[in-house]
Amino acid sequence: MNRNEIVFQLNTIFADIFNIDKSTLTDKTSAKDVDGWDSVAHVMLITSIEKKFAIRFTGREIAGFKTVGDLIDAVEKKTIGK
Amino acid sequence: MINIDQKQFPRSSVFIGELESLNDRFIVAQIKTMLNNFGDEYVTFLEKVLFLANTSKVSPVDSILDYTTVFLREQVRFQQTDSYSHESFDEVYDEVYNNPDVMEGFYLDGLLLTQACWEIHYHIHRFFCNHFLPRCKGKAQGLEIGFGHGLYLYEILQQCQNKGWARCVIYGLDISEYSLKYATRLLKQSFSEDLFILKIGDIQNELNFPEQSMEFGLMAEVIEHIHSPDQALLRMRHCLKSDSPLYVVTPMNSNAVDHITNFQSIDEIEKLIISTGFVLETKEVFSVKQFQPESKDRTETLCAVFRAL
Ligand SMILES: C[S@@+](CC[C@H](N)C(=O)[O-])C[C@H]1O[C@@H](n2cnc3c(N)ncnc32)[C@H](O)[C@@H]1O
Repeated sequence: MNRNEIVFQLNTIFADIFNIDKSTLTDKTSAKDVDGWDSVAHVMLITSIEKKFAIRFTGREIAGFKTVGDLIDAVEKKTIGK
Repeated sequence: MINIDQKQFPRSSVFIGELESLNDRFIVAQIKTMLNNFGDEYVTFLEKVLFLANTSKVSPVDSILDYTTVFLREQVRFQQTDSYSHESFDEVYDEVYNNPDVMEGFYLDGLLLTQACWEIHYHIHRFFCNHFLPRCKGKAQGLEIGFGHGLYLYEILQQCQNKGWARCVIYGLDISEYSLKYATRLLKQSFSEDLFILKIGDIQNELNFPEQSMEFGLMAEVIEHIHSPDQALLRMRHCLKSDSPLYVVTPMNSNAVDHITNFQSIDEIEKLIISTGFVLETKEVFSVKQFQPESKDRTETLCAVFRAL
């Protein structure tokens, strides 16, 4: 899966969970910029991403994601060859 | 950046330093608030918990993060389904209590560390120290069901040691051999082995302690793990002398990998305990929302001292 496809899928998940317009998201968007991005919402986001891409993150990885860009990078790494 | 005295609190400095490089919404924000509100009292406790967790093979940062994210995964599920993930005790036994990857991987260590890393658990621990520990004064013999990591047993034994009280022996019963190993290791770091007697046992079966043989009891985060909490409470009541204090912590609307019984209200939990032969002495109810108002975690926890009639 290429980066653009990942970005498209991630944006859809984000928009769905946080009820926001996809076009407002950039690589630098972080929890501070999105209403309702607390720890439960963060894990909700992660579980949706894991399901969509059939991958699994560890606790340390989950707690390490600070921005949308971090998530895209991680999904890209985990889906290499998929 | 959080600044604490590295010489006085070496373990805490390293632990917090490592956590600070991650997303601060998870643990660091809570640590900051506790430091602001409780200062040295808090960081002394964190240092103690990190010392107690030091026999584990897993790093404390991984344990707390794995425990926290597994717990949050369950809260997400609860939001989506409005029911607990597990219904069968046997299923939980196989997947959790009898599973070293879970118990030794992150469960025991992680749960121990939550006492100093989650605001709700830190407040529960303070309640225990302020309201239950003084009630164990001069008592010789007590029993904890579901001791898990063993921190409560540690606090009671430390009180006995600090006050120079003559022989105080505590008994502990837990269904998991991994809890037994973990708590034994934790307690042996500080106390002689003849002060505590830990056994594997199931509160869903008759207890092998004589009637009215115990002078205090603890059932913290355990009745939501079984099908018939009333039967378990009656068994505990049977072992306790009249007027003995019982410490109970029970959450509701709090999904977890090992919770099978939910309650409709805190009142329902209180009434259940009272119906098995206790009166309420002191209580506090803590909720995640009270510490993190924007959180969608619906956990509410009754924390109370009852007295056996
Ligand atoms: C959530 S931990 C609580 C540990 C500690 N009391 C605390 O409050 O942090 C629950 C513990 O209860 C034990 N447990 C679960 N079901 C039990 C049963 N039927 N009989 C005895 N112990 C049980 C588990 O093995 C686990 O160690």
